[in-house]
Amino acid sequence: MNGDLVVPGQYITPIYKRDGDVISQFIAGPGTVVTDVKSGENSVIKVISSTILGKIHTEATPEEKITKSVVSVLSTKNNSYRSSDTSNDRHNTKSSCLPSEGDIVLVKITRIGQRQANCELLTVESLGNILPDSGVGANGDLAHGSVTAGGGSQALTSHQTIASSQTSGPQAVGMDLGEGFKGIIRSQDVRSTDRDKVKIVDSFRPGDIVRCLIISLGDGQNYYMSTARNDLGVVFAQSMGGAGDVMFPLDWQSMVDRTGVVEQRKVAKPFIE
Amino acid sequence: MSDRRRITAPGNTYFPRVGAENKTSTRPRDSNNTPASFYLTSNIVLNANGSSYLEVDKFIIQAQVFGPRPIKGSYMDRGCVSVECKFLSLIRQNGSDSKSMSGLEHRIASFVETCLVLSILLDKYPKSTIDVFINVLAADDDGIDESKIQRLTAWIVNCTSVAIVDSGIEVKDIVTCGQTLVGDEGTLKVDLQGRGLQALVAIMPMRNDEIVGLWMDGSSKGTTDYSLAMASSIEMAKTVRSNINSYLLQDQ
Repeated sequence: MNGDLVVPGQYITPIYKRDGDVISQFIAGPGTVVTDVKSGENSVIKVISSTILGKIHTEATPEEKITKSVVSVLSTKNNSYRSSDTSNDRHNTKSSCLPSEGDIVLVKITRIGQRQANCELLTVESLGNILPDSGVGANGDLAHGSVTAGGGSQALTSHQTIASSQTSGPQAVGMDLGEGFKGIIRSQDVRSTDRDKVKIVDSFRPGDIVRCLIISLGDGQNYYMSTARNDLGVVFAQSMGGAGDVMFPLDWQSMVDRTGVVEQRKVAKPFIE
Repeated sequence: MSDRRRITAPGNTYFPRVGAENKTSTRPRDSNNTPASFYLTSNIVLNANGSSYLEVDKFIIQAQVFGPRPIKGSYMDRGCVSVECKFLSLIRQNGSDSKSMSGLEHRIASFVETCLVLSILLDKYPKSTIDVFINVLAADDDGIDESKIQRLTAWIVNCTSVAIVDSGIEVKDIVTCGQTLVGDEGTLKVDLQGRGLQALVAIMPMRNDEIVGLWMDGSSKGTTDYSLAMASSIEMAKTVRSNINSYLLQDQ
């Protein structure tokens, strides 16, 4: 079973299996779902089946009397960001790059305010870019033009051009479709000490690339992120609001460029010795 | 004496037969009870999350899946699916000005969406939308009309399902579709268009043949035609499914 290639819908194993006195229980992990399969007239068997094209991966946890194993399906799609040996990494068992709570992401700061910094999510760590088509695709009739007026990443302006969308409902306004995922770093989530004295302007500037932890899916607009950890914070920044040079960290709250300009940031220390 | 001013090609040059007639012979169908043979490939559009390409008889269909991409506005705990279908402008349609989506395109798109929504695990994709774009690149020489739309839709559903699998979006099962014609004279023809009762059935074969899309049109002589057409459409959907399975498994 382990390592076999499966297609979506394919049955992998029933959730309980009995082999003599040994009972094995299987739990549906990522890339799988429990399906009710009819067997005969009235009986139904609960079977774990695959939801993606990929290889089966089982992890057994021997307990008293019964063996419990988590069955998951790992996508066979290549992802150059995925490290080669991450069999225990939970990211390897995720089937999409959609950010979720607890993920480490790289974001770009787009706007700063008194209480929060707004950003756009670029990459989920060890999973890759959030979308292969990030910023390229367009909705509605724009999708069929070779180059659209604004370069292709602008929002859909006419919802009528989408042929059929029963699921989005009236809440999804046309203008809202087809941009990157957005996030917010609130001032109280910037660092874990002196949280009430944090000044956003001394922590981030627009254009900075910041390593963050997703703490909540947030509301309809934004994910909520935190940098309150030593390994989280600014990893790439240019001085003078992007006009200057690349800066390097001096200490945990200042960065310097080659010309000696020192600017305040909440600096990340991504490499732990 | 050769003209030395003229630059001629090296000796082993291959001259492409430009303008030569391209005669591809389509093998005649074994019988009326088997679906037509089809060509299928996937992962052809680089910036799409998933894509597929299908040729069957004179139909050429391409499907692209973008997303999950963000949707803003109020919080949605599950994903949304949108489907757009477009015929290339060279394909003639009845009563279409080709500027906006035609009635046929709308009907195909909404049928495809109905089928897909039931198979995709939307709970896994909060705050996002999955956008499917279908391009019909070629159809019969005399265009598309009501009598051909169901057969085309069947293959569009099959093509789109492969694009969804290619995108890695989680689905309960691959949706496949079968189409049957019960002719005016009562003969059953699988995967053929024409006059009579046409049945289009989309199923999830590994989930107890759950029907996710059903479309019956045309004229019939009795109710038995309906059950007959449905049963053989399901049979075709299963045949297509096993073909798609073997394609997906050998492609890896």
